Amino acid sequence: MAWNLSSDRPIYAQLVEQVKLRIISGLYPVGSKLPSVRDLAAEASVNPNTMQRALAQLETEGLIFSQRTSGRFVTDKEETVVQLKTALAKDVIREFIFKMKRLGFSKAEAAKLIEQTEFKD
Amino acid sequence: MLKKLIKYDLKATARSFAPIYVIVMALAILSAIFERVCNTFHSSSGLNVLNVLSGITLVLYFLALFVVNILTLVICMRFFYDNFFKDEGYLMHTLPVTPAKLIWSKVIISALWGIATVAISLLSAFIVMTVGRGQFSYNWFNFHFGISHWEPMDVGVLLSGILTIVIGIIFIELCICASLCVGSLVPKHHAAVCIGMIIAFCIVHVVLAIFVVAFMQSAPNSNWLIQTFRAIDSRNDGYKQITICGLLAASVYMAAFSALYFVIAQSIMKNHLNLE
Amino acid sequence: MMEPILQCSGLCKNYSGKEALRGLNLTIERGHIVGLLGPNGSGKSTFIKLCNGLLTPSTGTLTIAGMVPGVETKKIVSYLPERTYLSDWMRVDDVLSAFEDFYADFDKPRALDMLQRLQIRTSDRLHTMSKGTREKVQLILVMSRRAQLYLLDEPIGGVDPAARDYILNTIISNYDKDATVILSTHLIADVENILDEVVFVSNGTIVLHTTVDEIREQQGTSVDAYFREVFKC
Repeated sequence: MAWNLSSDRPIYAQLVEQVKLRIISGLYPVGSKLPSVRDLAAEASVNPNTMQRALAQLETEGLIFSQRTSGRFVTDKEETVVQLKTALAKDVIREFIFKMKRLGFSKAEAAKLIEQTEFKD
Repeated sequence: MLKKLIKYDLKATARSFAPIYVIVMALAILSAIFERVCNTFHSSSGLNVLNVLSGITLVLYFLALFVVNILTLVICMRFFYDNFFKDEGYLMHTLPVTPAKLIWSKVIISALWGIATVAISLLSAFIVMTVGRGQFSYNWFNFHFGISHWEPMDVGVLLSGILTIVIGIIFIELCICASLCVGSLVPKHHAAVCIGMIIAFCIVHVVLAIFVVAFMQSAPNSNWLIQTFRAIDSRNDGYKQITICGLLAASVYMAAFSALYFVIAQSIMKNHLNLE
Repeated sequence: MMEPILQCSGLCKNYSGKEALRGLNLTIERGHIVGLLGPNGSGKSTFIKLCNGLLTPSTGTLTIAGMVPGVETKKIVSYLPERTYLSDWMRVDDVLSAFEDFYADFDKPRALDMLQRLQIRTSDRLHTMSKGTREKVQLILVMSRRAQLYLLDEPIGGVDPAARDYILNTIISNYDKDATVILSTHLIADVENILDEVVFVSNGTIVLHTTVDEIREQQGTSVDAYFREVFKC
C-alpha cells in the first residue's frame, strides 16, 4: 500500500488516516508491533517529528498503545478496530448516498443499483 | 589536530612530488651509467653513440634538477592557494581547527618538501659526480670534502647554513601566503594584488638591505660593531665566525618577517574570509 | 532547557558591493527540520555560510548553540555545500579516515553501511565516479556525523528524481530527534513533506517563518503553491 499524501492538507492528519487504513486492511494486524517511527517516516518520506505526532494522536484515540521498551503496537482489542472500520465505512456510504441524491437517486434506488452493478475486482 | 592536518597535506602533495623525484633520480642514474660505460671503454672520440647519449642524459638531468627545484615552490604555493581559496576551501575552513593551525601545516610541509628536494638534489648530484666517474672512494671523498679535517667551526657553518635555508624556505613561503591572502580580499583582481604584494615586500627587503649596507659603509671606525668585526676577522678562522654570524643574523631577520607574514595571513583568514 | 540552536539579530552581510543580507532576525529551536526557501540570489547560501563560519557578518550577531561561529561550533555543525569539496585524487577510504580524524562525532560504521548499500567500495577513487555518485558520497559523509546542526545547501538541486528520493530518505533516516536540519532549496514541492518549519527568504530579508502544517491549515494549499503566491512577480 503506498502512502498517498496530498499537498494541501496538513501532513499529520493524513498520516493518521493512512495508518488507520493500514490497521483496518490488516496490513498492521491487531496486536502486532508497528515499525519504528523512523522506519515509518522513511517509508512515507515524511519528517519523523510529523509521524511521531500522528502516532501520538492515534494513541490518544486508542488505536495504538506503546510499551516502554518494546515500541508501539496496534491495539489488541478487536472491537476497536471493527468500530473504526464501521465508522469509516459509514463515511464512505454517506458520501455515496449524498452523491447519488445529487444525481437524482433515492437511497432505496441507490441500494438496488448496487445489487445490479457488476464489480470487477 | 596539527599532526592530522600535516598527515593529510602530505598525502595530498606526495602525489605531485613522487613522480618528479623519480624522474630526477632516474635521469641521474641513467646519466651515471652512460658515463661509466663511456669511461670503461676509454672512448672519448670513438663509440659516438654512447657519448651522445651520455651527453644528452646529463643535460636532461640538469634540466630536470632545475625544474624540480622550481616546481617545489610552485607546487607548494599552488597547493596553498587551491586548498584555501578554491572548492577544497569549503572543507578546510569548516574543519574544527583554527586558521593558524591550517597555515602552520602548510608551512611545515613546504619546509619538509623543500628539504626533501635539497636532499634529492644533493643525492642525485652525488651519484652523477661519483658513481659515473668510478670514483666512489673514501679518498676521493675526503679530498673533495675533507670530512676528517673538519673542525667544530666548520660544523657550525654547516648547521647555520642549513638553518638559514630552512628558515629561508619558510620565509619565502609565508611571504607568498600572506600575499595570496591579501589578494583574496579583492576577489576580482586577486592575482594582480597578490603579485603586487610580493613585489612590495621585496622592495621593503631591498630597502632595508640597502640601509644596512649603507650603515656598515658609513659607520665611523670607532663603532663597537665594526671593531668587534675586525677583531674576529683578524683571527685564524675569523671568516668562518663571521659567516656564522651573518647566517644567524639573516635567519633572525627572516624569522621576524616570517612571524609578521604569518600574523597577516592568519588574521585575514580568521576575520575576512570570503569564499566566492 | 538548552538554548536555541541558532539565533541571529540584525544580521547584515555586504560583499562585492552587494547587500546580500539585510537585518535578519531569526531564532530556530532544536529538533526541527527547517526549510530555508527562497528564489535564487535571495541570500540563502550567504546565510548558511555565515552559520558555518565561511563568512563573517558585516554587522549584527549570529550565534550557534550560544557561541559565535568558530572552532567550537564547527565541531557540532555538519555542512553540505552546493559544490563538491572533495579532491578528485582521494579514494573513499581516504575521505573516511579524514572525517574520522577531524570529527569526533563521525559514525564510520554508519557511513560504511550507507556506502555499501550504494555498492560503493572504499577503494574507489572519486574521479572515477559520476557527479551524482560523488554528491551522494558527500551527503553520506555529512549525514554520518552525529552533529547538532546540519546545514544542507541546495542538496537536491540538479539531481534526478530517484537520486532526490534517496537524498531525502537519507536525511530522514539519519535524523536524530535532538538535532536540527536547515535545508535550503528553491525546489519546494519536493521537500515539503519532510519539513517541520519553513523560512521564506527574499532579497536578504525574512518574509515568513512558520510551520508547514499552519500553512496548509490556514491557506488550504501546499507550501509550494503558497510560496508561488507570495513571490509572484
